[in-house]
Amino acid sequence: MTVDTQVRPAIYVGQERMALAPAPKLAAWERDLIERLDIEWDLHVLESMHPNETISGSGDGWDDCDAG
Amino acid sequence: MRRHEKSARIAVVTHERDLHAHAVKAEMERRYPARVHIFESDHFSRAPGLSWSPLEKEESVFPAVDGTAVRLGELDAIWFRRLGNTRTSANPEVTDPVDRELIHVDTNAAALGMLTTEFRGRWVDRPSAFWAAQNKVVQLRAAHELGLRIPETLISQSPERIRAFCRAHPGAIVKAVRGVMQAPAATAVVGEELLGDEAALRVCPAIYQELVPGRRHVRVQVFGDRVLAALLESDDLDWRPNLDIPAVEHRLPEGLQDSLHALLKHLDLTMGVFDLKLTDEGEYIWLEVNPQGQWLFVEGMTGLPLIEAFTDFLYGRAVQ
Repeated sequence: MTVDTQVRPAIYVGQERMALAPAPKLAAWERDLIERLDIEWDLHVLESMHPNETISGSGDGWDDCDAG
Repeated sequence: MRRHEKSARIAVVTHERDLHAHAVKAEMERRYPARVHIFESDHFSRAPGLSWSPLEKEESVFPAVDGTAVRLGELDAIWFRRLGNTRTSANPEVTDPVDRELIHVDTNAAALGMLTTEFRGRWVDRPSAFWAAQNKVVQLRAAHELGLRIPETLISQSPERIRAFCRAHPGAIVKAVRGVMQAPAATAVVGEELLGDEAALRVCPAIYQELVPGRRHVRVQVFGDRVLAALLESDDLDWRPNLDIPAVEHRLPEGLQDSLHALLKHLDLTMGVFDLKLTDEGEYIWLEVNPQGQWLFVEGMTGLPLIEAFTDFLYGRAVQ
């Protein structure tokens, strides 16, 4: 959240966007799985992904079925 | 592959680069006489794109990620995992936020209409069911009525009621009723700064709950009859931002498993991913159900065979 605003909803007061910690073991497992599945992906090529975001996890809002 | 089993055609509705979908597709096609199509719903603008007409002579086009035009009426099951993705890398040439919103909304509307109109097989899960079930008001009431222990909760934008609730429950937490993907927020303890911010409290409802102490968080995957749970140990109130934590397989009491199954049945779901907390006194506190929650990371953290279990479940739904 970088936009200047006079009022912020309660869930944002006192905190910035969810900060993700590195999860190197899980990231290594994901890389291994991608290799086993023979998918040609780089893990973090999407601009919108946080550098510490895992793509199998639930850390950044991915739990909801309507990802909108 | 077991040759005596029925063949099945299955589709996954999801977004770009969904590792869950690709892992299940590979497992399914390796072990069962099944073909799995992946629909990347944020990339339908690739050729051939969506097409549909109410005239039956016009064949509808619903493109899979490999460009195949799939006949929805010939599918046995759809795993309806995600529809759209506001963080997509698709259409980078469209930079106006309103134009991007229109693409997102109208693509989802067209795709959902085609799916619900043309598909006649089994859903995992029916869109109307999971949209209702993921609403925290709906699921909290259902969990309470079925006897699950839930935290004392207030969903409100009344500053007076919120302050009274937080006085009665020192250390109360605040979290989103639904939240937005563009700016997810971690569950947080309500502080004096928030309680003094009349405008912030009033501008939008939020969930206020009693603090459930403890460091034992339980993530439960229920796929049909199967229940696979993991215990995640974290001192953080919200474990999601840090997945570099101890995690092991966990066995739930049978009575609790029955209650989770009853809740899914009540919500008309066949699967769900639950968040519970296990207190130091050994009581399980029910926090929420994610009708299409993420589960793959739990296999990565614990070794639980979730890809295999989910594949068995999905194939079973397809040939049911």
